[in-house]
Amino acid sequence: MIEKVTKVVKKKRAKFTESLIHEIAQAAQRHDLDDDELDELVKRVKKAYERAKIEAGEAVGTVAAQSVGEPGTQMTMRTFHYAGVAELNVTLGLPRLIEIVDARKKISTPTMAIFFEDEYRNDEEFVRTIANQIGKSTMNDILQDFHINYAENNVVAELNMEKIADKRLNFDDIINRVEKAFKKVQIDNNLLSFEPAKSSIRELRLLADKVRDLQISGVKNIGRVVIRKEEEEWVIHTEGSNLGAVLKMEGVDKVRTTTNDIHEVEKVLGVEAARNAIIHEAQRTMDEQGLTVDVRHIMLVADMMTADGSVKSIGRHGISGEKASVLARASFEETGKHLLRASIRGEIDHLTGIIENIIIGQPIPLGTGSVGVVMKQK
Amino acid sequence: MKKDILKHELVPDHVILSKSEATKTLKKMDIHPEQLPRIKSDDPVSKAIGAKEGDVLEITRKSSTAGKFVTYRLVQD
Amino acid sequence: MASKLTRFEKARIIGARALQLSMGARPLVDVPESLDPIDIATLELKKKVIPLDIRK
Repeated sequence: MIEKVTKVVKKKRAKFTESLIHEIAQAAQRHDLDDDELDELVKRVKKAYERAKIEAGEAVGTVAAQSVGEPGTQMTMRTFHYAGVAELNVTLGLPRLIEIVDARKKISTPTMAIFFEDEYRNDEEFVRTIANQIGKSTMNDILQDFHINYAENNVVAELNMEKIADKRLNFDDIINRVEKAFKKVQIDNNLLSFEPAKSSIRELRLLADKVRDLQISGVKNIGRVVIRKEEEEWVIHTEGSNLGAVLKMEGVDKVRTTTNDIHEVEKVLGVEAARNAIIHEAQRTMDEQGLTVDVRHIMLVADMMTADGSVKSIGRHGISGEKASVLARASFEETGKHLLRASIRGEIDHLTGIIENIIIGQPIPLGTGSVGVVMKQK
Repeated sequence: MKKDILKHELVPDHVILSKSEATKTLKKMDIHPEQLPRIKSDDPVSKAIGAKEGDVLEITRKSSTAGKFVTYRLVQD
Repeated sequence: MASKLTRFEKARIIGARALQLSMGARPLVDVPESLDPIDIATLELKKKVIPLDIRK
């Protein structure tokens, strides 16, 4: 059916998108259309499609700004939300939307959703092992007994083998880490005793804290992890994010595992992926608040943000701050700074943009104003 | 690992166009290469497929409105 | 004019031509009952006789 529709569409010289062809094919099937009817359908769809298309000169940016901005005013200031049942905190609502368009380097609540490859998807044991490799654990989590011995001037820690087994950690790895971090340490099976560099009570107490806080497992930048069963498969949600390191891990699904940190997506998967991430995150934020914005507006924003190969913010430090025209920049923010700099450098404004022409009182190059008229050459 | 990222669901298909294909597409759109959006030559995907500066990449995105959408980016340092 | 005009181009051309007509240019079509220069320009555009081109 799809091939048939494609052929008819070609014959009518219409350039339809893939999804439109699919829809027509479905409709044709549903209503059992014959060839003439299909012809007529494609003809009418073509007409409607041409009419719906955006014409050159339309102020799409302004429309996008209004379409995102208006629902934005209705967003609640309720900033925090719990993602599902787990006790993971995720910034949502207006603050999150601002974070996305500002292209913040450090977002307030980075989080990852880690999926697993087919063979491990239902393997709880494997997932728990990975979760403990990813999640941060400190010595404190695996201690059986811990005390400071002031008489002998050392810190004694007894490891709980059960806790280690429960966390699926490797005892030798822990010992290695301990030996690397502390020079003066004596190891007798699961009994560790640490000696301070200088012998003073102050040093001893500092050492005790250091021992307890020693990280014995975990991926950099990732804190707590939550394991959850979602629709017949195990998924790990994290507090903090490190996409590059997690994707390298054995058994992790390299297709679906994602983070909400757009800069990290850009670094690991490239600009195009960052563009998709922006669209996805922005839309998810709006959806969560029960607001609907047509994706095309968000796509336009994402396209502008990624147009020059890296993620740039909307605003002073990004798109608006890098405009070619002095007057356009000056009219946005930091007027004095821009005018002063431009005059020192001797910048030239070619008056090709909208804002410049509004400032000097000329028709703007938009809509009818973007069309030039000349007498026909004879 | 290098090729792994190309399989990720967020990464659309990137294909390097040959010189003649690139000229043809640019002509069809009636634009200069500088008018295309950019992609950095040290972008993870550029590196994975071995794109060099000046190449034009054809990117086939999955689109929620059009189903499939073809766009282009110029590789730039 | 190879491709279809956008609505902006249409408006601009009709506007420019109507101005010419209002200042005394000779209509290139038989003038209908309406003497409004915009009506005449619209008719001229329909018959593709307007001596104006679009410059991008």
